[in-house]
Amino acid sequence: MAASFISRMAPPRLRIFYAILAIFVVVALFAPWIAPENPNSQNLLGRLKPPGSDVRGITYWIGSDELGRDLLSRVIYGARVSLMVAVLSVVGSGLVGTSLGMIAGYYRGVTGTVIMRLVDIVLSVPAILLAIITVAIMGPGLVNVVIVLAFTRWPRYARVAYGQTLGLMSLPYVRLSQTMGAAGPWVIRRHILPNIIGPIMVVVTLEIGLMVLFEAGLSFLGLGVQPPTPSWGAILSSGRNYMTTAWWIAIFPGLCLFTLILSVNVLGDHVRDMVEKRR
Amino acid sequence: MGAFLAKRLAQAVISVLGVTALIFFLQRLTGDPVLLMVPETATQESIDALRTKLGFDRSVWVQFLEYMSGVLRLDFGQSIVQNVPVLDIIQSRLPYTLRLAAGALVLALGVGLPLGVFMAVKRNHILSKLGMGLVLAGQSLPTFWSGLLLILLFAVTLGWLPASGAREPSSLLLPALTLSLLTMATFARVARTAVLDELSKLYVRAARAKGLPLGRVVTRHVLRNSAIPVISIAALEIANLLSGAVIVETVFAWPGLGLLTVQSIAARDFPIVQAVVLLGAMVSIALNLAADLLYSQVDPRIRLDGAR
Amino acid sequence: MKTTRRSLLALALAAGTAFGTMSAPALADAQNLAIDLVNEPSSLDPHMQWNPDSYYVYRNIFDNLVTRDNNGEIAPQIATEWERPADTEMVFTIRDDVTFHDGSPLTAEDVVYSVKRITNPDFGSPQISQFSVITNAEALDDTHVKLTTSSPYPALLAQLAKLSIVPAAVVEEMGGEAFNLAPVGSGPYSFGSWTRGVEVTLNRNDDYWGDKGPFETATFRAVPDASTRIADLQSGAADLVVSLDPDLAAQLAGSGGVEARPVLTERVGYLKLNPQRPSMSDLKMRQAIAYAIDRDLIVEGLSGGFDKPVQQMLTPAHVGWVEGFEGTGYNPEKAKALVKELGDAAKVELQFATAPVFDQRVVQALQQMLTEVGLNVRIEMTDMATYLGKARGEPSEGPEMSFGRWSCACQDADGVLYPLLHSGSSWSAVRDPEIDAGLEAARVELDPEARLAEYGKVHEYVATEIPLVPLYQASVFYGVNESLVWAPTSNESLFLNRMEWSE
Repeated sequence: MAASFISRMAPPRLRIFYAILAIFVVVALFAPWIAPENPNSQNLLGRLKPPGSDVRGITYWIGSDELGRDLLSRVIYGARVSLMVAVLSVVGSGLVGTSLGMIAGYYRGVTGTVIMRLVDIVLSVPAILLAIITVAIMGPGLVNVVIVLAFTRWPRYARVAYGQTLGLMSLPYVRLSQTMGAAGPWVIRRHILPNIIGPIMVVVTLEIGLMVLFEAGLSFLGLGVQPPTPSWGAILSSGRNYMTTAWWIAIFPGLCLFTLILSVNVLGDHVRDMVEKRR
Repeated sequence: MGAFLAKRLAQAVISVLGVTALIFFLQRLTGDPVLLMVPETATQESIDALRTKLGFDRSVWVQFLEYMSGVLRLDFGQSIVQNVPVLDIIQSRLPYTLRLAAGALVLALGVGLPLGVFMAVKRNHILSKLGMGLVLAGQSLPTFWSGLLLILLFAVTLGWLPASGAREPSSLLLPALTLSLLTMATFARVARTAVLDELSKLYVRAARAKGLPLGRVVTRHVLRNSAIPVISIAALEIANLLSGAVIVETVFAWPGLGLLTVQSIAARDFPIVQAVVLLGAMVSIALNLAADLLYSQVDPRIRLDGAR
Repeated sequence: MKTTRRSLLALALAAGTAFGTMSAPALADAQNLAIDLVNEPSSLDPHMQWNPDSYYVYRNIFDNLVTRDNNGEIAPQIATEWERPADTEMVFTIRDDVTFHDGSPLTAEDVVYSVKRITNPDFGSPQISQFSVITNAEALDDTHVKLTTSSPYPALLAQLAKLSIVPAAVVEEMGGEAFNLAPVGSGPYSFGSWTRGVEVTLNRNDDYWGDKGPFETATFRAVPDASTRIADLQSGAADLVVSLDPDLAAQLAGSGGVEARPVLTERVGYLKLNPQRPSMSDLKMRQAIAYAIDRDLIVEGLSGGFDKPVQQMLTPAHVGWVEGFEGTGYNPEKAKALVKELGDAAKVELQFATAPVFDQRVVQALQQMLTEVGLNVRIEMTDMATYLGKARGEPSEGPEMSFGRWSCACQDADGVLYPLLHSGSSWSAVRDPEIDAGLEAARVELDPEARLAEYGKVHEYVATEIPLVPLYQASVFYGVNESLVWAPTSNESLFLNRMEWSE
């Protein structure tokens, strides 16, 4: 059973992507122990040094950035920031959206209508615009970016949770527990949630890569995490200014961002295949 | 059907009003444009005078009521910064965004659909895997970077295409390509799933059993029957394209609504942001409705009373 | 696996070719000058807005009473000469050979109308406070205009270099809104067309009374992303691009046919300290900050030496610059000692407000320098509107420190020191009657030497009380096609009739 689950979820051709993901997670978790230097420590006389340079006893393995900081250390810490933003905003929006969607589907009536109209309202504003406006209100910064992303993305989950819950409401065991007087929250936890978790995970796989891209986009517009905090998006968007003079600043975080999102997308694609096949 | 439409339209009106209110109050929380409009040396009196002239000294509720009464008379106000009616500005910028979205949609469909069909028919062919890998890769790059890479390659190094602006017809190519990378994979996926669904149906098996070649079955029947899910996804993807256009237009200095909105949010030019969001909300709601109608056409099991 | 490797390869190929050699851009069209701005002009009514992108364009459509020559000195334009019959009066002699683009002559009445229009509170010009000292304008005859000010005002000419003369009859007939879309002036270029969001085109005014423009037309486009502006220049789509930073400008070094042209401006990069916050009220804290900053390192390290360190809150381009003035200077040991003396008071987290338009490299370098002497600084970057709200809000609620780049576009100390230090200004976090009196006296002092002495005292005050830490005279970089003969000037104007193609 366990073995077949593993071979279904992780066929050999996909294991490399799991490995990439695992490496990024490990790097993110243990960044302070892995990074050779302090990611924020500058040396204005050692700016824009190519990979492999030695300046004042520090080796810049993949070069230094526009303020003479060690790019490798920044990319390592950047993994932490980018993954944290993605995971926290997905968890935040997923929890809020799924709960509200289930509540709307279970109780319907006025509660359901209010929630689902709210979903329509938020969904009909382009997410990036809503994010830009809310960042303008709250100010940039890691915590705020997470809150903003959660605030703009929860309706995706709510819509799926709502539709799935409605479908489950006609099932005999749900009706039975209702007629036997079970409280709503109990039914939702016991019968609804376990049955809709699959489709919700599909949304999660789609969203997680998107959140990394969103954070990068906000950084490009000057609305991402606060300097000097390194995130891949922030390093990449300042690295754009050095494409022909110091290519390494954009290329390395760009490749990390690319391989991370690609892995998430490929694996997400596979998860969706699994879920679709089961239906 | 009529009752369904009436209900959906009523809901749409509520949503549009809700969006308008949401954006109105969110924007007022960001301050006002007065300090951005005056020189550094402006005195407090002249700042206050300008604030009064623009009406920002009144309570938010008064401003809201005034704005809403304007909207109900289809008066969307003047741009604060540009001093021109908002509708004129939107009218001149909208065609660019439509062209960009249409261009991106054509490219995404043009690459995504054939790839999806091919993947369904020849699942394990090396080209299937390579193709899907490529479109997934395209989806994995931030547009502000992939756009710049394309500019450096096609505009600076090769000199084939203009880097920015909208002066020539060929200016559309790079931004449309950049934007289309975002949705190509989605189309490929949907097309593959739809075709696979059709292929597993009885009539296909029957036709194959009768000895009809697979290619002919696909072109004759399968494609037509799998078109509808693809079209309805396309309708939903347009909303994503409009969202993606915000950054793509900034990179390529493409004079569409996305760039306009980003600049207007930064400049606190509230009436413009308000009108763009209103327009976007109406488009998105209309597309959703269209998608639902299409679904119900193809699958009678989906009843139109909202309870799936 | 395979797919990833292939797509990475494709990407590397694309990137590799992009970094290869670049060919020199050809001039797309010698009769047209193509300029990339950052944003599109907000309005071309010269009295209705205040932003650099509009300024670049409309300065070519309109003339002013006076202008600045390429050395930054006040020079005649519509006014050929001027005199001061009384301390609060100035009489200008107006050229009689100037016509507007519609063919009508420019008269003293148009000058009066323009002054009255911009100073009318009901009109609500954002620029009003630059001219509000003017209380009356009257035409003495067809070629003489008298301006009256509420007090003696030595910076009047500097301000008038920005007051565009509009045709009274046309403005009245068209109304403000239409005039903003199709402005009529008397400058070397006339308004051609404005495709909203795309470009503004100007046509050469062949009847111009002064130096005529070398290009038949000029187009101004909005290209917000600096990397794209560089690509436009390198590919020949633009002949002149604005707003590059030194690192971006360095990209142009490798490509043929284009170059970066830096110029020192009248902008002063500065750090504002807020004594109204408890943690900043102690002079030792402010001194520690001032001593911790190594201006030379910032200038040498980040701007390649193009910026110029300053010890007073002005640049040599300003009236009020005191040659040889010494400020606090760099002394990290003293800074560390002060931090030690402060003890726990130095451990407070200091908010450091900034906005994306400022050079983030400088802001981060400042943070690092302050961290190195033991202070605890947190950067708060918000968009410009929010930043301004903080920087110009009630100081006791504002951030402890903010970064800024000051330009009054008037090259006069009154436009810098008065708003930043006078207690009546929303920028100022200083509440000191003594400095208020000094600034007021200098504002109305007509004798240049006495005025300079007053400003000398202000510089002294800034160096001892440290409400501001002046950092450097900022340079700006333009990207230019090499065949364009043009030297940028410190007032950041793009006067088309002062450019030409080589050969």
